[in-house]
Amino acid sequence: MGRFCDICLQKRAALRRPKTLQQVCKDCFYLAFEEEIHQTIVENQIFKPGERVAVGASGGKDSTVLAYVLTLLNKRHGYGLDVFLLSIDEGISGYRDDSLETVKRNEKQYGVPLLVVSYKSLYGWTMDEIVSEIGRKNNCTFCGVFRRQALDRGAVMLGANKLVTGHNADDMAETILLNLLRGDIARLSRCTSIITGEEGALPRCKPFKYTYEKEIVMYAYFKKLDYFSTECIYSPNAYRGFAREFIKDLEALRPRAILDIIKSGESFRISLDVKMPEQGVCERCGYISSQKWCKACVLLDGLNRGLPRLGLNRTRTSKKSSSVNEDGYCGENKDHHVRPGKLRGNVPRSSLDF
Amino acid sequence: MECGGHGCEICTGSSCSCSSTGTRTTSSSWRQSKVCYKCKEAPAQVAANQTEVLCAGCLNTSLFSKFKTAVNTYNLINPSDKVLLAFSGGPSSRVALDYIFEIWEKAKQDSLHCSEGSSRAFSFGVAYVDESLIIPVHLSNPNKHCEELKSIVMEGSRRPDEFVIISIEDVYTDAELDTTGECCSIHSNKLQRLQSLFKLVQDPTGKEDLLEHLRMQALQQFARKHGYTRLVLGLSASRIAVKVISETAKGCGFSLPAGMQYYDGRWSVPVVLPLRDCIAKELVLLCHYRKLKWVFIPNMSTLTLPQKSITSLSSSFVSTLQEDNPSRERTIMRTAAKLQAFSFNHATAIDGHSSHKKSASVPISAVIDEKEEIKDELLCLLCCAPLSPQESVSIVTAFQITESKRQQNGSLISDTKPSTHFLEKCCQSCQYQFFPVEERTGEILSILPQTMKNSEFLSEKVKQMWMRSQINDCLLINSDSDDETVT
Repeated sequence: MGRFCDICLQKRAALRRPKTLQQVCKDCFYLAFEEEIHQTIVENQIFKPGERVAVGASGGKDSTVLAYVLTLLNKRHGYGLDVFLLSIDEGISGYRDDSLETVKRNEKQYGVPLLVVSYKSLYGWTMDEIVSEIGRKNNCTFCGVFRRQALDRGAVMLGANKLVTGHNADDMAETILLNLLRGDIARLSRCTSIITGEEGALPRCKPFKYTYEKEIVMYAYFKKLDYFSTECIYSPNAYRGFAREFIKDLEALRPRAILDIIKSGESFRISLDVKMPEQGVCERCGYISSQKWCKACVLLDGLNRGLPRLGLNRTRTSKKSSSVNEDGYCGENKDHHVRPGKLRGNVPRSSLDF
Repeated sequence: MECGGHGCEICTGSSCSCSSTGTRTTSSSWRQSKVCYKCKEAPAQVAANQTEVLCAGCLNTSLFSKFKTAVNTYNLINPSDKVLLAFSGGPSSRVALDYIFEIWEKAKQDSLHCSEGSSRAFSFGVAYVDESLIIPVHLSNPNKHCEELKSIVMEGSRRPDEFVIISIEDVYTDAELDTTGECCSIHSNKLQRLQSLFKLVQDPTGKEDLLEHLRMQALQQFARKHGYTRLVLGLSASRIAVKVISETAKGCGFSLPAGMQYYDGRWSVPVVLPLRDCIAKELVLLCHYRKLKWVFIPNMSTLTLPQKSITSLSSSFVSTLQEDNPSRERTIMRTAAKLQAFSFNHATAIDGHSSHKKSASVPISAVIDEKEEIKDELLCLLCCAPLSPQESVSIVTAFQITESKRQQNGSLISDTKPSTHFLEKCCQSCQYQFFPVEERTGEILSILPQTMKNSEFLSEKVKQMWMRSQINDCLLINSDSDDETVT
């Protein structure tokens, strides 16, 4: 470089922002990045003073940066929040234990309490055990469904008012595309909300809705934040999905395309003739569901009865909505459950309908 | 939008080879093991609707049935209509040509039987838009292509009332040009303007979109001048799936449903899509089995590299998905079909003049649905996409500010630039793609065809919306309905 920062015109430019293509120095990048997230939080009234907020923390870049920035903004702008870290231990040897070590270090570095909830304690099964039962092909379905509910349960244990995940703009755009591809009109109508489940006991919030993934990586890199970046061993190719590739190509061609997809998703108006699933609660565990039993209970029942494929295969008579876990966990781990396998003909049905 | 040009993309070199190879493979394997899913007699030759294997005859029956169902259910073609088919030479519009011939001949026979009555068959014309002068010279052979097209359309005893070749540069009307001279100078002037326009638009996606808009304007001008009442496009489900993805990526989610309904009454000559439910691959196979001749004519879209524009990126993306799961295109199309359509997407019960109104007010509906508010949609000046509520509000607000200034300063002329007035009435996607740099806006505006710059109608609508917003708190719902009824 030989250029000066486009914003302060004083320091030497260190990077070019993927979002705006401006050449900026580090300090201006930090301020712009943090200020944009602050604006998103304020404009959408995500938090109220005194609320207890659980941050879904996987150790990956998104949740690490989210925990850091949220703690920072909480102090700087006086949100008055009680912030906690919430991690889910899926029980994957050689992978999750390492990422949890990262979150524990984050707990000390940021001074934020951490709660770890495991599949074993909630469901009696670890992912290692589940994979040995059904093989590698469909295990992401179990993991995604269980993790989503585990986050809710963990947040309830913490007495949290809000659950925050690190879904970024790239994730949002990808979710919109996937719901278009798979014909999920119910999810298409709400997957762009920055707060979902607002009427419920535990709303989920995505402060990074308009934040680009590349900028999150840059921020973590320049701030030298400690995060874990290995991919899940049970879905090694999950990261390279068709939709993800398409979005990256779009971003290279026209950076604002990611925000444009989100804007389109927000603009979609579902026809009034279309029937939408009705919300209810699971008979068995009481969590939200549009079916008699929630998906987690169906899958768990299958496992316990030695019929692990129960609830996996589609049936012609079934009219349940499909499962794209756009509200699930953040970071690399979310890659398990929204990836090429989901685009294949053998798409499992799900009664999860948040 | 004309589909054929884009539809050809599916059949370009390698895709054609894939189709042929696929056909051969599937033919041999299915012929041994299966019979047709429908008639149970002939050997299966093609997989349709993902799971049904059909013979050539049943494939044609299936597709023709979809065509007829669309035409009859949505009143796309009526006996009193004069129908213009936009023909590109590609397989989709080729099938549309064949099917319109079939229903046309049947309509003529029916009208012969009832010669005493008032019923008569619709009129039918075919138009091809020649864009060869915009693409590099060495890649196009316009004379040869026109001859081929003519031999296809005017084949034997089966021929439409009219077949015409429209040059894309005729989107400029003769009255627009300052030159008062011979015809050749007018023509070269149009050509120069068009080429300058495409040089000024830098964005590759913008170039493709601009060409699409110009093509529609040229077709509309011709259809309007010659009294046509319907413009048929051979847009297939595959092409619509690509449009859904690319429009979403351009931030046009609000207006996306407008251009993919069976009926589109925004235009002075309504646009209809009878092949909307048919997959491009099936249409290609149908052409193959029925020996329907079609021509691949290169155009801007087929010449764009996959990584260069959002449209071509979306096209290759959908192709990849289609290989992975054959029903993906139909799923995308069906998902988008569940989005709310606009008022102009419903053919009016009263034919004639009311169907030509851009606002498409429906008096009968107004009486029936008193509670439902009927809105006149504001349309982008360039692409005729419905403007989103946010964009509409900003236009009305801008008008309000202008009105306030006028009242304060009497009859003083506003100091705002005319280009700013124009930009306000475009959608955000067009603003970004065509006018990214402020300095060049005036230059581009001066070269645009007049039909795309006519904002008087839109200004009137904005004024009405502003006046209504002022008295909105005094209005009752019934009063509103009465107003609409009177209109």
